[in-house]
Amino acid sequence: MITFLSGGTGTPKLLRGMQELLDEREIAVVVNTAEDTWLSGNHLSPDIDTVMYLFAGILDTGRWWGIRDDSYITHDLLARLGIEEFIAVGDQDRAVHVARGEMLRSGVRLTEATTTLCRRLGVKATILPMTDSVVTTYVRTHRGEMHFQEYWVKHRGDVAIEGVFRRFREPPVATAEVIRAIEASDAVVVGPSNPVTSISPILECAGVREALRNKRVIAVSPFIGDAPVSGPAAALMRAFGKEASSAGTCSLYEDFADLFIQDIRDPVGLQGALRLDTLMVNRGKSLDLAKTILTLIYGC
Amino acid sequence: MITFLSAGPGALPLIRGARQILYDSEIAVVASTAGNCTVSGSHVAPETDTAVYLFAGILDTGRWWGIKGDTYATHNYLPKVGGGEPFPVGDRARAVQIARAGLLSQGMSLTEAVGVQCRALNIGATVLPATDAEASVLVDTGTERLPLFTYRTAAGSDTEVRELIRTGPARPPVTDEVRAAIEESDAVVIGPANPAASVLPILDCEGMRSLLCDAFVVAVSPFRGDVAADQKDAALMYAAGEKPTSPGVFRLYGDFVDVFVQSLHDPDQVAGSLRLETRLLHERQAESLAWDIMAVIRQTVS
Repeated sequence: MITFLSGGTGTPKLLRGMQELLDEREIAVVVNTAEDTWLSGNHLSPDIDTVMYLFAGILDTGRWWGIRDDSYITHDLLARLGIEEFIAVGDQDRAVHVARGEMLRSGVRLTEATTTLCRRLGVKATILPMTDSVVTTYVRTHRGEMHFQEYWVKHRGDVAIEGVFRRFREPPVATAEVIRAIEASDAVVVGPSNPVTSISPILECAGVREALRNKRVIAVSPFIGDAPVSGPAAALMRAFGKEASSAGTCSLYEDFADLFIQDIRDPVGLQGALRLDTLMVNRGKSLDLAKTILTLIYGC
Repeated sequence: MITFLSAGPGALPLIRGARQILYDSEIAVVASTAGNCTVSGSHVAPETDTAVYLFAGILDTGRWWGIKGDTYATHNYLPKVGGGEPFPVGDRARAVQIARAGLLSQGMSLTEAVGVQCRALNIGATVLPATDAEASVLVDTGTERLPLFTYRTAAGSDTEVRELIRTGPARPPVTDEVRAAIEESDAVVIGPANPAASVLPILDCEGMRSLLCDAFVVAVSPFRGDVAADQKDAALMYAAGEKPTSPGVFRLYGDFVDVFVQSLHDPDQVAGSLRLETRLLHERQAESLAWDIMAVIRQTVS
């Protein structure tokens, strides 16, 4: 088995390749939940949904979020009634939020709720939220502190940020399921997701770094130069006190990463890093990178 | 202005009929909050919603609830992902319910939230919840307690009704807006809605009966004989401690009603009642009943 650490962009593109090459039951994905929020009375977990929809074969792979061919009847009427949902929630997508919201309200853990949703959607891969407690990424701006989703989706990342931090009532702890998955894996792959908002929240869950140190870990940089392949990583990295580059990313992972992969186009030279084409613009590119990583893990 | 008490299924056809005679701006509807409940994190208020939909011209008048031509993408997808709802919530109706839940969570009263929605949907009539308190009714079936709307729309017609249980305060206060509407009205009309499910929860609001004592009130009995058209209507009446008959209804309204209307075909006698055709099977019957009621009101009030 291989465990992946994933956010909502970047890593799912690598998973698209892995999904074709591996028995899905041999894939576990530990997913960032620090962007979760309650929206319109129900529970939005953007990264879990993207990964879950990918394995269920219903992901809108044009945008890499939401359900393909979904309708937006409730969302559109809400706008006419003066309620602006900051992201376009499709009607089927909303059903998933409703089902999860109801489960959480009745006291079910997020891990169990995700398992139920995955089973219903025919997902055979193991999708695990990083923690069952609530932890949320906020950014500090001159307008005050805002939820990361509000910064990125509503303001389209167009606000200067001074800091990135996590809010929680109790420090997040990785679930037993997450630790078990890592321990049972032949290797762990940290996908090319945003180091600050997607991967760091997972690493900050108590127990994860320790578990990773005992494993073979391959990390893929999401940067080419100072530009992230996708998402709002550059400004966030700087606000996080790290250089917005593969070097900055590598320094976040250095205590546990055994192999660091950076893009062939990346001008930043890193000693010992493996150069591969990480720009997964289509299915073929995803497959190529996935194949290479599997060869690195299994040596054949 | 005329105020209608209750926007329950029985009363809605009469309100639609009255719209042929009165301007919407001359109509106020006081809706019962008995059916209010939370479903899928959004705020369900069946009577206010049906009244609002009626005046917005989007009510599904086949079943007298929900929005005409609504779709059910979310509701239909829910069972696939392990969820489910007690009754079908349309995608558009869900938007209205989510929007209201949002307004309430911002600290608005229910009256204010419904007012915002009426304006958003360009409604000329005034739709008012009877109270801003959280006052709804649960149906005790012996095995579970169902929200009233769930009982009406989803329970089997032979479901036992042991008791109607009020949630919230025993005597929720009537709102200032309802008080003003009734005081400004030439008359109050209680349509042929189920008294137990829809009218009594309004009458039980603190201050309501004394307001009605000072108003000219016309009430229409929904029953003919003791065979209710709908088994659930009968079960609800028995649970409220009355028979599903016109005399039963009259006992509930007797202290304030000025004109009691019962069906031409009703074998039960209520002394002094006005006999009219009260079956509202199609629009013309409803319009005709509305005409007769307005005639009585004009003659008496002017």
